[in-house]
Amino acid sequence: MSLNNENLICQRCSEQPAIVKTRKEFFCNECFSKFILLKQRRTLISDKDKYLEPIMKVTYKTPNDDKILLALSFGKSSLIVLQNLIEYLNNQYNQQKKTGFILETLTIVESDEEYQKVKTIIKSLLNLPGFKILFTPPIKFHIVNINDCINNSNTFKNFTLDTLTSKTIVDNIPTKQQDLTLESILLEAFGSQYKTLSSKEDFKTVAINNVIKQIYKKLGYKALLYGSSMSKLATDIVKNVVTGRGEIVARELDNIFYPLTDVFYSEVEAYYDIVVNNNDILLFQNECSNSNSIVINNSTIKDQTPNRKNKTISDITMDYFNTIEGDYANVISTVVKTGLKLKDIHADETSFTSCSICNTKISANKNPSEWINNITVMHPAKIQNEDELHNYENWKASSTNISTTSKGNIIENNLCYGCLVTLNTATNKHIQWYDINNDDNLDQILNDYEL
Amino acid sequence: MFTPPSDPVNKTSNLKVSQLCELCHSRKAILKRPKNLMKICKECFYKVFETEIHNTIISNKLFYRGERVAVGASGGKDSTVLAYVLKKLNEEYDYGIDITLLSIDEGIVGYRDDSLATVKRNQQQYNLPLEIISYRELYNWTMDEIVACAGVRSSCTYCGVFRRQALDRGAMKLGIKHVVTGHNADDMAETVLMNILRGDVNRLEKSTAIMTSSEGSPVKRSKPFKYSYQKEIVLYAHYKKLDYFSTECTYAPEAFRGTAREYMKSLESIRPSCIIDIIHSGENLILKPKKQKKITQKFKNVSNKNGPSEMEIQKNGTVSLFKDGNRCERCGYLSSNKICKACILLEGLEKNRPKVQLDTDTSTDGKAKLMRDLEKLSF
Repeated sequence: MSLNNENLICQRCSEQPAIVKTRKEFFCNECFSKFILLKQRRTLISDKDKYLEPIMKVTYKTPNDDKILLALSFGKSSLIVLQNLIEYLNNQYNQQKKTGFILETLTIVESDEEYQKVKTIIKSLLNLPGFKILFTPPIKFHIVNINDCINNSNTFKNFTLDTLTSKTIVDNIPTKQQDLTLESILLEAFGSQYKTLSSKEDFKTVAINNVIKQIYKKLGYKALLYGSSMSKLATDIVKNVVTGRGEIVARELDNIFYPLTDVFYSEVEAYYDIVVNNNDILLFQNECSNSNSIVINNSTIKDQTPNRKNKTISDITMDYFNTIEGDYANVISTVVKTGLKLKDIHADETSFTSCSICNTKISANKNPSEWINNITVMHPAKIQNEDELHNYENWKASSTNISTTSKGNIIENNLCYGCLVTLNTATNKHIQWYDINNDDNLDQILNDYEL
Repeated sequence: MFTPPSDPVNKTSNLKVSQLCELCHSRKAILKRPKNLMKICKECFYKVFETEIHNTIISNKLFYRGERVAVGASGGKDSTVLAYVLKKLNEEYDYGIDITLLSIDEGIVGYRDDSLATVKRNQQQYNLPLEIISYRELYNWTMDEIVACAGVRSSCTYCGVFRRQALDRGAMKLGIKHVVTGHNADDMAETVLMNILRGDVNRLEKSTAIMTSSEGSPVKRSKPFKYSYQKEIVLYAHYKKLDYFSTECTYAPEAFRGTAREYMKSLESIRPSCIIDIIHSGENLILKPKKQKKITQKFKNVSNKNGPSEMEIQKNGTVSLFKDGNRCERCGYLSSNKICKACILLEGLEKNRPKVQLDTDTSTDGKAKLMRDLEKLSF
């Protein structure tokens, strides 16, 4: 909602005219920018029992060579986090001639065009006032094409869901298929219908997170940072619950640092438009925004949101938050706070397997297929008359003609509940997936674009 | 008089293979199960629906032989199907349980009286004993009077607290220690979502429990429909031509629950399995242990001398005694506090009760009565 009041004064400094209204308070340009930056700093330093504090501080007895990885999508949120970290490091360098940690970023792209675009953006980015680097060693920007990760995998497998038993049949694909892309894998599995948008989004998120976590582990970073705002975090928490992936909520929140945990997306947008104000450094310039503008006198009309059929679970959840925030305040922050109170159900487990698609832990005593089988009966009622028997004979004859029985092995406990359910929405109940644990060629595909 | 709906005319011969049920491959598929997206026929639907409830009962050991069980019967689709299926399964699988229908008359003219008429017909149809407990009898208030006094916004708060206690009291009156309710998978998923959205962490871990009980109460409650979709319950009632009352309560549903319900409906339209998915997630949500607060030296001394010095004071000023089996000072009903929640609500209501009332006063009649009267109008 835009506000139209030109005589409002900032409630923090009581001097400058207010340009933003958020959290029932009016802010001027400077106070708002300080408000957002300090919120990020405080979250970074105090989060997870102050884990990052000693890592980020400049020390004199030990080397300051701890590496922190920022997942940089070149969206507004992650760019703000990058700007804040650059400013933090610049301050350290100005004051102590040293920096407390080494910052590296990782961007996952899906095509060569995107790769080239990111390279160009990085070049121009570092000349912008808020992003100028004064310290050494400079930031290392990693750009990875996810399709290279997929194609460099040694083994590909076909995962087919047996709907009668809810178990997965796994076939090894003997010959390496060239020019496989994430897009083509998802298109082959789910088709191009609108109703499968959420399933595609689900597996795409899984694939991107897999690569980020693989690189994070392989290159020995001390912390992984995501630029998700509070609104995005709340949406992800609810989305995971809704897609049956509730068990990963606590793990994602415990293992990743989110400097914008306390900043709404509407605030991110306002900060970006007021302070950064440069759409050329966004990877997707038409970044979809569902949030209401908090900028005073903003008369921008938001794009029409797609109709219900085109929407994904994230879109519907974001819409829900936007409509409910007016009547029931604090829903977004409550969801994030609730998420932070959850415990990783697998934290103390010693006996488990891992999902072959998303790498989530699966408890040895909690087989997802068995859980589905226990609540879903698959035994038919008896055939009662001649007509029915005739129909059955017809089906039997036709099914033997088009025998599609998979030759693979049924493997117990190899897919988590969330992946099983998403696989069930695939057109032919199968998907081709790469070996997510193979990181042999990771160094080769990790294209460093060092500045 | 109840007239069952007629059967759709379905041809059974010369069906295309693509039209056949994906389970038996011999009859025409008539519905797509939201749980696993399978197209199945009516006969297979009956079989899987009933067997799934039986499996839930057996795997969670809900009943023991000889147990007396009260079905919380409102006359709505869920409780009607529950009474029907439970009776059927009890006979088929020989659980050896004794089923009684237990209804609560909240006193909503034009709504509850109609639904109770349905329950009474069900009693005849299923040949089960029926006990009706009314708010008037227990609390000397009807819901219509409560709404007239306290407003419609808080109607669900009063009704929820009173109904919970009334079900317990009704069961205890009959000497029954187990009440089964028709809460279905949709209700459960809605509760999980609501607890996350409202940050009700105390209820979050328990929101998917199939068996629950009120604090200090000897009466346990269970939900055999935990994994049954509302859509399937409605279809079962429809195909089996069960006699149920389909009108929603005329007092607004809890507003926040209403928003969660709408949200879930939108999700269901693009991911039909989301209800079971939410329940699966809910079963895997556990809380971190609470951080121990640092005890100051001053507090340490106090607690050492006088034993446990911490005593929780509730929002309403009563003191929590933390003991099961305590009784409310006013009504004598089991309560963990000095005064039970129902008595606190009643106290507030009594303060606002009109001192004088006309004999023919109809101002407390609710929306349902008004609607009924309007329906009768004709030109």
